[in-house]
Formats: sequence, C-alpha cells, structure tokens
Amino acid sequence: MSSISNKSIFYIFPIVAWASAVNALLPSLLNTLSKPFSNAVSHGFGHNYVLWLSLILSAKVLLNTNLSHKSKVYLPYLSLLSIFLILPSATTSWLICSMACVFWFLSFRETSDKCKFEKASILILLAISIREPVCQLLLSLFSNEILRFDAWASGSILDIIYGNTVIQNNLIHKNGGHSLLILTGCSALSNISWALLLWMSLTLYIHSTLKTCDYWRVVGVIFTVLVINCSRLALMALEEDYYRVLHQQGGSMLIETITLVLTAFWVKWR
Amino acid sequence: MNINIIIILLASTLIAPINRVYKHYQNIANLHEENPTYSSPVDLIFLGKRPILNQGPYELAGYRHRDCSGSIAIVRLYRNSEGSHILKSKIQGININHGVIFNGKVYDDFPQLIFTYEQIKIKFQSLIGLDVTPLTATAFAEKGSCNIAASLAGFYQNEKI
Repeated sequence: MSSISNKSIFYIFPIVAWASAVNALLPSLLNTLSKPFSNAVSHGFGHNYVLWLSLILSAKVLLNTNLSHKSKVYLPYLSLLSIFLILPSATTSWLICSMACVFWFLSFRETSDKCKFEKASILILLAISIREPVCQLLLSLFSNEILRFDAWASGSILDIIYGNTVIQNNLIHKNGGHSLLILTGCSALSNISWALLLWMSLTLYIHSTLKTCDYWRVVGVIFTVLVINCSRLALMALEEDYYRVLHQQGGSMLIETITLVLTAFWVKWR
Repeated sequence: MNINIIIILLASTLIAPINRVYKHYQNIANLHEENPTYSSPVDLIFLGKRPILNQGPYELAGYRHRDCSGSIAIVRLYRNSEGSHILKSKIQGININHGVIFNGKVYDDFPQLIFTYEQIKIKFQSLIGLDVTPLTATAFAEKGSCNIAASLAGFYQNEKI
C-alpha cells in the first residue's frame, strides 16, 4: 500500500466507522420507534443516554478537525469489513466499527499534535464500539465469577448494616428475611462500563488525550460505581420494600443518575 | 472510481441499513411468544411447574420416575450461569445430586466456556440464515438412584431441546 496524496480518500475511514455505528444502533432504534414516541424518548431510543452523549462528543470533535494525511488507507480490508456489515447483527456491527477505528488509528503518518483531535474522536468511537461485545463476552465467559463477586461485595455491606448474612454463589440470604439472586442485569460490570465510557468521552473531549497520571481516576470511577451498585443490592436484600423501590424504573434511574453524576466528578475539567 | 470504494459505499451506507430495516419488519411479522416446553421421556411423569423467583424468567419444573424411586427438579437456563445456583440453595439434602445438562451431557457445574462457544456458533449460524434452535442449559437437582439427569440429557439431545 503506497502513500496516498488524494485527501478525499481519507474520508473512507470515518465513513466505514460511522456507518458501522449507525448500523449497530439501527435494530434497537427501529424497535423503539414502533412504540409511542414518548416511550421511545424515555428509553433513550433503545440505547443508554451515555452512548448518545459519547457519539455526539466524538462527532463534535471530528467535525471540528481537518482530517490529517494518512500513510495507508487499507482499502481491501475496509471493503471486506463493509461486506460483513451487511449481516444484520448489532454485535457484529460494533465489532466492525472497532476494527475500522483500529485501521483508522494505524493510518496516521504524522505523530504531531495536528492529529490529536482526530485521534481523540477515534478513541471515543472505539470505546463506544468495543464496550458491548466485551461486556457480552465477559458476562458469558465469567458470569459465575462476576456475579459471585457482586454477591460477596453486596453481602459484605449488608453484613455491616444488618449482620446475619449468608452468601451462596450469586445468592444473598438475610437470615429471617428474603433472599436476593443477583442476575446479569444487576451486575456492577455493566454500570462500570457505562461510567468508564462517560469518563473517557468527557476526558478526551476536554483534553484530547489520556495521560498516564489520569489512570488513577479510572480506579476512582470503578470504586465509585462498585460502592453505589453494591449498596443498592445490599439495600434490596435488606427489605422487600427497598427492593421494590430500587428495582422499579424510577429507583433504578435515580441510582443510574447518581452514578453518572459522581462519575463526572472524576473528570479533570480544566 | 476504485472498486473497493464502490463496495464500501454500497455495502455500508445502503445495503446494510436496508437489510436491517427488512429484518426488523420480518421479525415483527414472525413475532411469537416462546415458552419453554417440558416434554420428557416416557418413563418420566411430569409433576408441574411454577416460577422459582418473584421476578425473572426462571421456572422450576419437576418429574418423577415411573418405575424407579426417584425424582428430579429442573430449571432452564438461558443467558449464562446466573440461574444455575438457584436449585443448590432451594433443594438441599444428603442424597441430592446437583448438576447442569447441556448439549446431551451432564456437568457438575455450568460449562461456561462450552456454552459461550456454542452461543457464538449459533449466533453466527443464524446470521447466515441457518435454522437454529435457541440455546438452553438445564440445571437440575436429582433425588434417588434412577439416573434421571442422564436420561433427560439423552432425550434433550435427540429432541434438540
């Protein structure tokens, strides 16, 4: 692959990456659009609000930058990815989007600050696209270990609040009370992935780069989400009334909002 | 214009979205509620089913052996191993044997690696248009020495449940 001077061809990277993202969003989006509009809005058009915000931030950074010169265009690989994009699967589309982002990132000729905005936009899109397939794979391959950890952490908090708690795999029993089975949807892993995506998108939008010294903030985000999620599960195991309140849409939305607001505190704003 | 660019533009911005919209309307037309079936070998008597949790998809079903003194409780598992420990906490005892039936075999614990591999395989097969049955594993708690779990494993394998 020789060096290419025609700049218009460099638009092929954003076209493939963003077309993959749009194709990944389409199935859930179409499902919610067949419901009443207010319902679709309240459900984020089938996707988490963090995802929409991250997409907007990535697009905003990209639109404010001039595409820099590339050393390689990887056209045969990109056309192969586009053919696979025809398969109607959201997960496949996200994977293709990730691969397109990787090719886009590898194509830079300059290492100067000139392309840092473009790189920031790619990194946000890469984080968005890799989140779902990785979470799905982890929750399938290590569901036992992940849910067991959630139960242990939540059970430990419940033990401090109430005592007399028995933890058995992903079940928390409160002696003389009810039991709570932690299912995949309640796991902290999904919330951690959204919080990290939010943190990374905001950080890259503001600073255009991630520094090594920022990584302790990642630990802070993970710790914050773990504490909030495990406290929620501990309260749900404590009393059935708490379970009903925190498991309903209003309660879970409140917890989600608190999680995202506290995540934003870990972003270096200046 | 380069042939690769034509392929990219056609496939990613035209054919792929049209295919998704087509698939969406096809799914709406074929939409039907899928309830788990509890058919079993002739030597087992179905005892009934009931929800095992206040919320969620998990159901407890029971069978008794016709000729031998033994019974089994089962829970169908869908996504992953999340429901595989319910029976271990609900049904305990000295002579109770716990395990998971998957792909015609009986495992002591939920086979996460094999299940994930089969899940990926089935998703790929359905993507290329092959007719596939949804993947399920079955957690069980068995009492007695009739080896009902092994008999159910063989039955599920033959019936493609």
